[in-house]
Amino acid sequence: MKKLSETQLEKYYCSTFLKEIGEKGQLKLLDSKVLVVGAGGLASSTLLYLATSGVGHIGVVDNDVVSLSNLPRQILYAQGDIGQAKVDVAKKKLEYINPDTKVTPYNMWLNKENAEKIIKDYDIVLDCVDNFETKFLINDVCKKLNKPFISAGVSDYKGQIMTITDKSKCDFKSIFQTLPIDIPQEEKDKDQGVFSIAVGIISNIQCAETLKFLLGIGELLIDKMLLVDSLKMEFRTFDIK
Amino acid sequence: MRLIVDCVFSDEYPDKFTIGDLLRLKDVEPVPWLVVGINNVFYRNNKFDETYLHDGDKVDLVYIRGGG
Repeated sequence: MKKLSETQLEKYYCSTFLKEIGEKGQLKLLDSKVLVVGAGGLASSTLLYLATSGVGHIGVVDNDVVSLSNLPRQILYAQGDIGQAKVDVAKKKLEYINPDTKVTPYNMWLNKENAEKIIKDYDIVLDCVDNFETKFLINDVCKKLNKPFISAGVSDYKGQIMTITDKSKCDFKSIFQTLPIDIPQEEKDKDQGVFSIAVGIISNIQCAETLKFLLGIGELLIDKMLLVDSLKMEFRTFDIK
Repeated sequence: MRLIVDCVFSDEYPDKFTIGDLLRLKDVEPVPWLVVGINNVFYRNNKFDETYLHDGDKVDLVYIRGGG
């Protein structure tokens, strides 16, 4: 039977002490494969916690480079990383932070041509993207391949998050039925502003959902959507019927 | 009837008032990427004209969020 090494026992002491996790749960995490689509604000914090929690394999898909305006909310990156591919920086930093975690960088955008090929190798997919097209694509491909995914979005002070597994009655597309079209520019402009901490709050919840799913513990946001308003500091969970 | 719309108490509304009526009154287009939460239950836009609101209902208009 597989066991944690002495170093791992010490490293993960606090989480393995939790009766729901234990050594068995930590071994599960070390054996898990998580795909993070997007390497921006939501992904930054999620990736850090996935790695420090000891998820064994993380894939990251993004074709962007680090820029100065990313830094306040994309906490994985620093000023010295500007101009470098986000996925390469992510691999270097996450593997340095936790050598138990191996990172596969996909320096490309997720699209119809590559989505199935990439997603099929993972246990769960995290939607950390900033565009509607890819959110709908993740929904469609995960549904086809019967892969669970956790969808999150954030703008201004607010965010929303939901978990879709084979137990879900509703998926992302059954709630928001079509891609938003013909949005007035003034509405699009409103979406540009974001409170960096709102991104952190939502991404940490997304990571918690991921770890609980992998461990098979607790309750997930299945057929529910959590709305967070960090300006009013309101957390509300909606049932989706 | 008084409703809490997006967490603000709104003016008097008539009885037999639907989500669709509220959206029309507020000049909100019932686009497919909008869902309406009433007391923490979401309703999709094919239910807007058949779902009646009641005194004290808390109504949230929730759009898809793309930012990441």
